[in-house]
Amino acid sequence: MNFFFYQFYGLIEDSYYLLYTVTDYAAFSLVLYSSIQSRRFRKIILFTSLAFITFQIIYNLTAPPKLLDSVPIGVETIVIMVYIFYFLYEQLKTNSTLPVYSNYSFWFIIGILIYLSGTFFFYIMINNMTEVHLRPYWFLTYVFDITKNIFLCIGLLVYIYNPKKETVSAPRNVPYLDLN
Amino acid sequence: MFFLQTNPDEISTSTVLFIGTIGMMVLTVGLVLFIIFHQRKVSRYQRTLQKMEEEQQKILLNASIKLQEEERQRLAADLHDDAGPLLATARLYLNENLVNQDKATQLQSIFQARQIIDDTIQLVRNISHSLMPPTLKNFGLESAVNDLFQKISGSGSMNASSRFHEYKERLKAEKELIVFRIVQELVNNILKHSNSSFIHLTQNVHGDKFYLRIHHDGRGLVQTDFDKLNKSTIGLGLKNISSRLRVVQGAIFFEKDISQTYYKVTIELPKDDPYQ
Repeated sequence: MNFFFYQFYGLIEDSYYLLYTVTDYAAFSLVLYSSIQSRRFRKIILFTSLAFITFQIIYNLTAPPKLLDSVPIGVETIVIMVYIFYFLYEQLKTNSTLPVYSNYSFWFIIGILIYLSGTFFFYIMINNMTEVHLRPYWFLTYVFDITKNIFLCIGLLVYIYNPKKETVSAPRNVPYLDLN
Repeated sequence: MFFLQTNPDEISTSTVLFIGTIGMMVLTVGLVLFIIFHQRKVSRYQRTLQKMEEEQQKILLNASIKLQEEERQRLAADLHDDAGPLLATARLYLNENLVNQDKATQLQSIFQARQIIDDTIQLVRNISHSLMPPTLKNFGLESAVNDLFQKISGSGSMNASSRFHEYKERLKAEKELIVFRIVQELVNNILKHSNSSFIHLTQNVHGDKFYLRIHHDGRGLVQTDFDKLNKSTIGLGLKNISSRLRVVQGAIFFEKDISQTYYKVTIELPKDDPYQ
């Protein structure tokens, strides 16, 4: 009976990690997918996402159970960071006269970047740490999670108060002043 | 304190974790700050460009207004100085007719009045032609340009020729007028300032673009000179060319031939859509 319970519990735990990482990835990549302008890169996001989900499922089915699925989290972080760097590169390329922080996507993405960079080392090293040793560091994930949520809220506020994107005004022509 | 209570392996893990996280955060903050400052720099640059563009527009607009005023003054002078006295003289002859009962004198004054009215008609026609060349209106740009070049050549001051290679589909009438005015302005400038012995115009079409090129062997301008004059307060005619080209979304290029013998002025504008 106990054996079956632990089997079942293990399955739920595995599914939880699988779902958590996949949901995390899906949410972040969706934000980036809608913020990135390049169609080519959007296609790359779609293909990478399929590859990542496949990898995540295979990993969870084959890898021995551990405290946390560090490898998929590490891969997820790196992939999302690549998307973020591309987004920031696009922002650098634009010749907008509006400040970058007037774009709500910028706040969302900076929140995600801070969360991912703050928790990256902790999540990939978590399986090499003892439970006693883990406790004092665990709160760090909350700090970065809260920071991310604050940035998401700022992004939402920017969106609410400034929803319109910059429109390119038509060039003013010199009026045709011919006498005819 | 925490490091003291743990074994060396755990210390190294903690150190890696601590340094790694701090490093990542520093990189993230650095990246965000870099993006913000770079973007501010770019936006400052964009604003400066926008301001310069506005200034340029203002100069062009002023030039166009000034040119229009000059044209009006010329018209007013033509009408006041030429047509006015002629009509007044004709009126005097006709008045004479009313006073003088002698048949022969009456006929003579009527004849004189008719002569003067004919002159006035010719004068008004000349003014009207200077406003809208009839060749351009009736036969198109090709004929108008050929006509203009023949007149220049006929005057004997310069050898002028023009050749249209592909002009079966005429540009819209208003576009033709703009192009003709630009050609007139360029030719005037060449006549006034270049001291050249010949001027040759060629026309062709390539892709969806219409091209006109003027060659001359006198003193000329290159693109940097044109841009400089365009931004300065002098060079009213060139500003007028720029403003006309803006209307037809065209471009103009001033360059020197590779052989360094001729100057070339190329006008490029989009061809009219035949389905429009």
